[in-house]
This record gives sequence, C-alpha cells and structure tokens, in this order.
Amino acid sequence: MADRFERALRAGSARLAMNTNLKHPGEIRAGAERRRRRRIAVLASAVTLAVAGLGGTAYAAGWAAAPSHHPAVAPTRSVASSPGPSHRPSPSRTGTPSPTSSPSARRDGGSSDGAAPECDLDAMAAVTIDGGGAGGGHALSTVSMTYTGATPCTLPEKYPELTYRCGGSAQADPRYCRLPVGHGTYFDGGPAKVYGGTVRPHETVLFDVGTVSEPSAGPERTYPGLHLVTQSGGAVSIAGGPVSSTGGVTVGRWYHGQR
Amino acid sequence: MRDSRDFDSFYLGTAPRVTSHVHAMVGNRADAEDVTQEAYARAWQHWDKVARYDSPEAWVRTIAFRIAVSTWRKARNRLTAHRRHGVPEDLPGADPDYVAIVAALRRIAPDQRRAVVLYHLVGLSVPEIAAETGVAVGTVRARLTRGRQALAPHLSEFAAELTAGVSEVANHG
Repeated sequence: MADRFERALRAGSARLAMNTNLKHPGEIRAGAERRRRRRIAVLASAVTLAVAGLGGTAYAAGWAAAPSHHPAVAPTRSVASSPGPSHRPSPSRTGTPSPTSSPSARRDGGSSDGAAPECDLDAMAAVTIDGGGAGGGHALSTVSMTYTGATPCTLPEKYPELTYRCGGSAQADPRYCRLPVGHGTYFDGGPAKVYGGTVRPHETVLFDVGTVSEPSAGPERTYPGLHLVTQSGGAVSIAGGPVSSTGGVTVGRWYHGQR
Repeated sequence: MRDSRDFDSFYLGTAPRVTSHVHAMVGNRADAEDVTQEAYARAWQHWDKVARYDSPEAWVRTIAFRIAVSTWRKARNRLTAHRRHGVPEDLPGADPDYVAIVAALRRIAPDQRRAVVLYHLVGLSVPEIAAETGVAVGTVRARLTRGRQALAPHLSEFAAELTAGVSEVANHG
C-alpha cells in the first residue's frame, strides 16, 4: 500500500541513514559508563550531605532539647560531674566560688552570686555578628559586643533575644519581629567558653548563633536588620548581618571569655 | 556480564536506521544523532535486560522518541528561532520531497507524528504500533488518520494520497 508519500519518506530516510555521523560504539559505551559513575558519585554526595545534615541537626537539637543535662549549659556545679571532651573543666571550675572571689576567679567559675547586678544590655556597644565556621550542614556565627557600663555586671542567665526587620525598609518605617530561635550550645573546637559570670567594663561579651546551611533542610530564610533585645524593651543594632538559614536559627548562652 | 561485542554489533547494525527514523520525528540531523546516541547509551546501561527483549531496536527507538519529544518540549525557544530564521538545512543533497515531508511532520502533533513515522517509515502494523506506544489500536488508527489529514495542507503535492490513504488506514490498519 506504499503510496507516493510513503515512498518519498522511506527513500529520503534511507538516504539519511547512509549519511549519519554516529559515534563509534566504544564511545557510546564509555560515555554511558562515565555518566553512570558520575550519577553514583552525585548520589553518594547527596547521601553524605543528607546524613551529615541530619546528624548535625540531631546534634544541635539534642543539646537544645536538654540544656539542663548538658555540662556546658548546665549550672556550674554539674560541670565537674560530666565533663565532655571539648569542655573539660579546670580544677577551678569544680567548686562554687565564694562571694568574695576576685573578678578573675568569678570569671573562671562563671558564678553570678549576685555580687554584681545583671548586665544592662543597653550598655552593649559595637555589637557585631561575625561569620564563623561551617560543617555538617551547619554554620556557626558569633555575636560579639563590648560592655560599656561603669561597674562590673553579671551576664543574664537568659538566652539572648533577637529581632529582625520584617517589614518596611531600613530607612523608612522599619518593622521588627521577634526572631524565632532555638537554644543550644556549640562546640567549635576552640577554647572552652566561659558562660555566665561577671563582666568588667570594656570587656567583650559574646554569644553564638547557629544556622543551617544544608539546602535539603528546607527553604532558606534571611533575617535582615538584626537587633538585640534589651531588658528595657529597647533594641541594640547588630552590625554585620543578615543571617540566613535553611533550618531555623539557634542561639547559645552568653559568655564572656574562652579558656 | 554485559557483552560489549554483542552491543557493538547491535549498535552498528541498527543505529543508522534508528537515527533516520528519529530524524523524521525531530526534523534535524544533529538532534536526531544526539537523541539516538543517548538512547543507545541508555541501552548499554541496561544491556543485560535490553539484549533479551524480542526487539531491542524497538526499545531503543521508543526511548529515542521519548527523548526527542522531551527535547522537543524543552527546545521551544530554539524552535521559535527556527521559525523566525527558517529550519536549518541539515541534509545537503536531500530529496526535496523528503525535506518537505520532514518539515510538514514537524507541524503536526508529536503523537500523530510518531504514529505516521512508525506506520509509514518503520513499517509497523497498527497493532504493533499500539503495542510499542502503549495505546489502543483505535487510538493509533485515529492518530494516523488525523496525522495524515494534518499533513495534507502542508504537502500539497501529496495531498491526494494523504487524503485517500486515510480510508485505507482506517480500513486495514
């Protein structure tokens, strides 16, 4: 039933078949193998990232969920009972310092025995967030500031509270919202942090901000115009932002030195 | 264990033919060669299984057509450029009738084009096309009929045959 249309189609196609410019079969096989290996490598990378991300999330969530049981977040008395590798306490941390301890002793002990009033956060200056390290799908930044009060003070026992600009522009009618944060303690491999305790004038005070950098954790959210909420209800601007995360933001407790 | 000699002889024996069939689908020789080679690369990845099929060539052709349709959809912008600047001359010395047929095939729906190519070029029967494309025999007949009708206005020289052939396809399949 081959009509003229069909004959023309077949003739043209046959002519084309004789003039094809195809690769050698060995090249086809090699290309397929290369692609298969690449796919396996990509798959392995994805699995590694996912496992690292989940591990990191569990790591952070574990400490955030049970802060009172963890030595680094627990009250000073518990430090000696369950030391961890990255925050082994020195002998000076094993006892409760007396109220008459020197400022340095109190600093070591991290005690806030009421010898000094709680630090007025309005007195914090040069508040800056610095990008820190990243690993396991998580990133750690540090907010540092200088205490400008005239007398020693005790770091708040509460976790820092932050706001971010959630409306308006930085110049005109900015609106701020409370930044939803989790609480956690971070071990960055550096010297052990001294949480709580007394801060002297012009001393540097810090806290950590943890974010998630793993894309599979969720959509990335950016929080511009970060501010530190003070006890009076005011806010101190944090330079160096914004903060971005694909899995929420976690803050650590105040600390004022590392050892 | 995959037998590379087996695959190589299969490739060398069928690839030019499959390329020409794919060319009728996509209308461009370079694209047809790329799509065909991609289909054979996939065949090699699954050669243990594909080699045992009744017709490995049909498997490759099916994969190539799928890739072609997928590529076709992705390349809307490129097609727009083709329409604006004209289809590139990719087959020097080709029969003008064949060039016209391929150009006309590009203007009909992919499902109809596939049915027309399988029926008139590859030489499959309607039930075989139904099996290869995974649709009912009646659907294949409808696609062939509509495909030929759709081609007729673009191929004035073959309009009479295309219109007459509609009833033949419908009756015989």
